[in-house]
Amino acid sequence: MSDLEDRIREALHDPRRELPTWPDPMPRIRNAARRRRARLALGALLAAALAAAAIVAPVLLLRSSTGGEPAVGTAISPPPATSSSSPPPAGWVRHSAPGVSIDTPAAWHFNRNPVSVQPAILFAAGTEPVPSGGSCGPTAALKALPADGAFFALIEYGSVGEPYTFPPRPHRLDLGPLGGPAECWGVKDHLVLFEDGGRYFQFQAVFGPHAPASLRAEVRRSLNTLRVAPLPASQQPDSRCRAGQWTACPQAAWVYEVINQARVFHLGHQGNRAILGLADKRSFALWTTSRRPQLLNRCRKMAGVRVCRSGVRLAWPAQRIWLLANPASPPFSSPGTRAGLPNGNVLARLVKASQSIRMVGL
Amino acid sequence: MPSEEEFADFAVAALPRLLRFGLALTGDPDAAEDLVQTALGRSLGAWRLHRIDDPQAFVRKVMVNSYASFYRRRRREIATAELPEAASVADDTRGIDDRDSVWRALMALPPRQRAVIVLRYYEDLSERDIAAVMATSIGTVKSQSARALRRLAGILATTDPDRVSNQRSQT
Repeated sequence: MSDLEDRIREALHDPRRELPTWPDPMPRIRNAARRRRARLALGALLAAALAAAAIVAPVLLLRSSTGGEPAVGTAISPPPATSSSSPPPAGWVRHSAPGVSIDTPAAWHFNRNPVSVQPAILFAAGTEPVPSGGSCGPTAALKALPADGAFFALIEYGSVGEPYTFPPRPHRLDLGPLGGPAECWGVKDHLVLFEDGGRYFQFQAVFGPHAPASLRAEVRRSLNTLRVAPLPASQQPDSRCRAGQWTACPQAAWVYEVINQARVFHLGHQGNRAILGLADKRSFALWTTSRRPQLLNRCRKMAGVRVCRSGVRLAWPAQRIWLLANPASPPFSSPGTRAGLPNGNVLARLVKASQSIRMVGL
Repeated sequence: MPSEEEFADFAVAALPRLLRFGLALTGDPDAAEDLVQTALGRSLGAWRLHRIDDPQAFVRKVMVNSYASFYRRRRREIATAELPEAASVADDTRGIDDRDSVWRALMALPPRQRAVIVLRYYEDLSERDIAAVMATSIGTVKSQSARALRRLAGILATTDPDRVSNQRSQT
């Protein structure tokens, strides 16, 4: 038995990590079983709807070509939250998946079920045929990707505990830098997270090693034709934000970007009120307010910004709002880390990032 | 014929270990609870249909498969801020630090590698049993395990160079 194996066993059996058990687990378990049955029933219903749509759509298309109502969008998708309902560009076609639609060049291929996993892949598309198959990711489709081809997929998260990790969809989506390899995909990819219409999406794109730059531009163009059917207004982040859930506000998404750029480790969130970060062995909460905090003192200039103390907090202005930092609550400290305000280089990086990252969605 | 009461007895008895197993897989207490609840809900459905011989193994399998799906695509780690304050009397700070370092390194592993490690070192399953739980081959389990251990050693070497140099000086 190696030392490393002993250490792993000790860490996994660490008594400090026991979770409180549930006094009466059966109501929770029965609820979970009920939800699963409902999901299965909904899936069957959707499959039936898709089958019906497959019959109705050609009829509508036929009608439109013979002078009937134009068949804009799809037979099954509700009106989109984003983009116009204008027809696809010449030589492009529109594809639909549950609650979304997207345009691609007509020669590209589209698959609504490349692999059955959770969270759901709404669709996958590529320059070559997109076969279904895989246990964890769209393995079959990735295997079929030629050296000069492109493949992309849209994943939707059903429920999101940290909505701020999905920034509001910007006016123009970009593919983002190459990263990874992505879990379960096993290849490097471009990954974009965004929120649109109260729904949380992850877009992943993979290019063959010899894919031309023009192909990347086409995938980007295709991504920006994505139309999303919104959730009811009460479930939109705006409503939740107004109801007091700060973590659903655009400001929270902005703070999350700030801590990432400042190379602060994301620890989680403190209820609905703040995001928790860890750097230099100090854990702290960060949040925003539109009002200037009271009793600002002991101010000093940092990255061209006056950073002040406000009681036990730090506060500084950024883009017409105020960013505040507070030592994290006790559960977020340990012998290796302690609750404390960010200081030195960490604070400088936070201040600098708060000035350089533009806030979207306010 | 299995009754729901029997399943309830099983759930109550198995819950602490399942929650702990979920926490080791996900690194997040909330996610662990969700995972256990989902797995037990699904298992209850199968139990009612008399499709379960070994409920513990069934729930474990559902948890591993659900976990791999839930977490398969996120590169970032789920928040793992839960570091309870109380330590046992025998613990010295060094021991706690080391277990926390190893825990954090485990959380940095990709989901399937982490699952292999947790099944092997927490559940004490053989490679054959791990392969059955993960619906994969023994060869894949061996390679995932070797990769995970290499990666863990690499992470720990960068986060705890003192320990590495001490070990080297001892050998």
